[in-house]
Amino acid sequence: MSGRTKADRACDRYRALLRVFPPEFQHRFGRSAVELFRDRYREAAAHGPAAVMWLWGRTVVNVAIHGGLERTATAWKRLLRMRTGMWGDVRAALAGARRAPGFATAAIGCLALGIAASGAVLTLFASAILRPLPFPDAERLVRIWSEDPGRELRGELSYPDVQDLQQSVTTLDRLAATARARQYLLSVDGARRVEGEAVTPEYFELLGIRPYMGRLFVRDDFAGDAAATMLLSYGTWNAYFDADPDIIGSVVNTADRDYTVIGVLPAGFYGTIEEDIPDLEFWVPIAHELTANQMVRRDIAGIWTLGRLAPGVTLEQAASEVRAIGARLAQAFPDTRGPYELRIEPMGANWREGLRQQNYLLLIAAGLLLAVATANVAGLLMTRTFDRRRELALRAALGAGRARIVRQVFIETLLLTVVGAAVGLGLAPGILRAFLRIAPEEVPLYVSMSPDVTALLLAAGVVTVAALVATAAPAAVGLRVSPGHVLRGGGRGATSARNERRAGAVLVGAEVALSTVVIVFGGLLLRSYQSMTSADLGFRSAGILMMAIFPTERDVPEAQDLPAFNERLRATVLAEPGVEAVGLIWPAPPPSFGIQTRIFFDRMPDDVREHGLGVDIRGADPSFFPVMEIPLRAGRNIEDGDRQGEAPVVVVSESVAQLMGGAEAAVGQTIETRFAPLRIIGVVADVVFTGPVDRRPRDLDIYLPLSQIPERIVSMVIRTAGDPNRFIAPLRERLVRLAPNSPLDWVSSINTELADRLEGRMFYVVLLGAFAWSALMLTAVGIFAVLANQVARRSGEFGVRRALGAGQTRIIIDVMRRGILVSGAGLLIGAVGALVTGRLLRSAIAQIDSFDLVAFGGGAAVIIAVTLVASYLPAARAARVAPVEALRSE
Amino acid sequence: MPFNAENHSPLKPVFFMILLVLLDGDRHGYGIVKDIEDRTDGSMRLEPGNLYRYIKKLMELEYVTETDDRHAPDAEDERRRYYAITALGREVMAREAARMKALAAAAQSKLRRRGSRA
Repeated sequence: MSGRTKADRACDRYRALLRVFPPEFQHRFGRSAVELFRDRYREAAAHGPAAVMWLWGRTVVNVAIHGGLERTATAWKRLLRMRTGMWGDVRAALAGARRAPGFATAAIGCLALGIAASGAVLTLFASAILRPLPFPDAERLVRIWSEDPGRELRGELSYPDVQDLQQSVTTLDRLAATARARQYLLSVDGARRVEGEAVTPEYFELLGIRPYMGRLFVRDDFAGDAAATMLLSYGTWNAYFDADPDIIGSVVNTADRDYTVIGVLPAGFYGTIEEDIPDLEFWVPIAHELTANQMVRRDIAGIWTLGRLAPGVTLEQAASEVRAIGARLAQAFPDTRGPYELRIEPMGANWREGLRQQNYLLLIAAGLLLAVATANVAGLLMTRTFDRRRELALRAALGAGRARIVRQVFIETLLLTVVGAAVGLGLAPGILRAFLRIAPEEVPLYVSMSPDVTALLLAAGVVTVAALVATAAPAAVGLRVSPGHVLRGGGRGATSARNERRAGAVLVGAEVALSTVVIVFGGLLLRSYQSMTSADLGFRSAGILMMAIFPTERDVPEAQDLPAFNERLRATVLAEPGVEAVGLIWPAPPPSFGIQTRIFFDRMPDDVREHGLGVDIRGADPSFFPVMEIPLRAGRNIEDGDRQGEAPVVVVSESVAQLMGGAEAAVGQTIETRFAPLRIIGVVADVVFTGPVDRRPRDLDIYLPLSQIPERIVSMVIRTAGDPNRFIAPLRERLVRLAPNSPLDWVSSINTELADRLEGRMFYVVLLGAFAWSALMLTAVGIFAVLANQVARRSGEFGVRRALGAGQTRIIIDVMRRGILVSGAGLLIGAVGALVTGRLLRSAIAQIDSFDLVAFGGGAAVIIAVTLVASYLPAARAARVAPVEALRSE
Repeated sequence: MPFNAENHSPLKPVFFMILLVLLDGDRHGYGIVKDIEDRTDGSMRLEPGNLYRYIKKLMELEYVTETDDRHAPDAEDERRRYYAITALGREVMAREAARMKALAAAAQSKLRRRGSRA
């Protein structure tokens, strides 16, 4: 036979195909397989070219599938076989960590910080938003709200509404009504304000709460002539009644009435009030707490509802029934209340909604921090693996398989991450507790917080996987180069050095980019916080003390005597030396909400014509505007002559006047309210009465003369010479003499109060600040580690250059340039990322400008400063390399 | 490792066919493939890739061994390896045959009963 046949050539090709199989397999069966293929080929050739094509098609598929399966099986078997040497590897890894303690500490620290911080934030998210509320079958608990058509605002219900609902609703098993109850506990130390919850008989059964001791309310406690009964919280029973085991049956005196204690509620029960999150101390039957008006009038809201879906009923079914009942009520009582709809939603939806947005922000920040930590650990480990290429190559040359070496590196990494994760898990509860100490006020007390194991494990898992990939990849790739090459080149081959530099640059660049985003986020939050603290509220707050007094019937028996009492009050306060002026305001001084109502006037704007314009009502005396330095825009101020019996008048804010044709035009016009028509006598400047945190889009306020609306709450704004807080004690003394049975409350300087309101916002600022700081530190470590490593590697080169006369500055600049370039690229990418994601912030936080030059510029400056420091240190070390020293090591 | 034939029962059909062919005598790869094709009227077709994976597996199980005997010596066969069934392989086949016989008998008796009722 001369030359090679077609069959020979086909077999050559087939032999090439067989490379898909593992080498052992090729070695053992390759020749037989080729011969078998030769037989097949001959058979096919006899049938013509189509059969040959068909044979090739089948063969390629067959080889691909079975070659792949065989490789997988071989790899798996090898892994199982290797189990034996595992302990040796672990011991070697521990020895390695002892040899390089700095590296091990840095890696473990980064891991622990990333895991702990992101785990704690995930926990906050999980407990507040994802986990069910801590009541039995909590997912069946619902609340019913009233809602103005077209406005997405939840409103409370009136007591008669709730009663109608209770009677007609069938899709709810039970429906309870609750309201805030405030009392002034009287004791020898004076009156202490306590917050409580007034409830209907179904309340405790609905929530599945049993008493710690004593009994819960029974129907008889709600009868009109029943003695006033009270349940105490476990905390109050401990703190104020010394956990007295004989507390049941004892009497508690308050400013209003005397209550008999019938029971103590279990520890960890905090009630269901979700507004301002007061620390509730007592529970009382609702029937005795509501005023006669509240019991019967449908235009006075303030009742919260709590329901439990009947078995088998879906939320949608309940929603449609409740909506229908609401429509019927709105139709039956059209005059007593603006049109409204009833809406049902799961309990907790109201506060979770607001919290969710802010928590997303935190989650993003925590994710970024985790990414920075991961990139850092990956960078450290990768550098180290590159460092060890010589050792690995030596081992490869000595006959260790690639798999074996990758496994060794793998185990080392795994050990580091396990220790890091353990430290992180240990830190997490502490970090979480620190979070909660400054936690947002939006989370009701009934939500219990404990570290979420799933969340922490998730964070640990992400870091571990990333670390393993970061080490295994260079180990595997590094070994592709023949051991001899690496050993000859001393691990400093041009290609490998470039690869390593590139990998280091990518990691550091990514870290800088991520840190930039976190830092800019922190900066933006800080700026929004700043803008709130420095916002012009339109009134004077410096040097003003506020105080509220609740004149009881023991001190002022008749309501008609209240204006006269107010005069005595003013005189008493003014008599204190250092008090310059005093103004009176009902119900509360700023920052606070007024009483919300709707007004009508001629030529109403279209959007409010149907339902009226929503405004805040307050009562003021003639001194209020002057003391607060709120300027008059038109007309006149409230005067002493505007008293009861005279025509009812009103002063409106500028924003209201704008809607009526301007300040001048508004004076003299009449506004209709649900209680009386009011003639406008004056227009005052807009003020942010609610304070910057709760600021509304428009400052729509109206002020009635206090003398025309006598109420048993009156607040004072007192302008003092010097620190207002110094006047608290002497004024208290004077007021106790004036009205011994009337509690004082809300005693504070206005500036203190404003600062307190801002504290909730501080939570996010502090948290993001901490994240930004951590990210920055991690980045600094990353830049330093990568550059220091390169410097150590190139010390020979620096030595030569020094010997050839290169100045220290030249070398410093050369090393730093690298760090600055990489960091600059990362900074640019990060800034773009921050711009894009900044929109998220804007939706979560009011008063934020997603492109704030100060925040961006400040962030960039910080990154640049850190880059300079982190790259100067290794550069200085490079410059110090003594020429002789380096040459010797070469 | 002590062998327990029960662990390997039932045999995969393709293993059963390879062992069945080898019961007739030692074969090289192409011989096995051809015989199986004949016995199954071409419905079971093995390619070199999977054939040698199966043979490797059967050799690991020690049901099959390589043999150096040349049964039909000719020029080309010199490059071929021949495979023979081992004693263990025969035992496994015996058990498998008995198992299949029992199953077949059970099936047939049920089919007969149903046939008589119809």
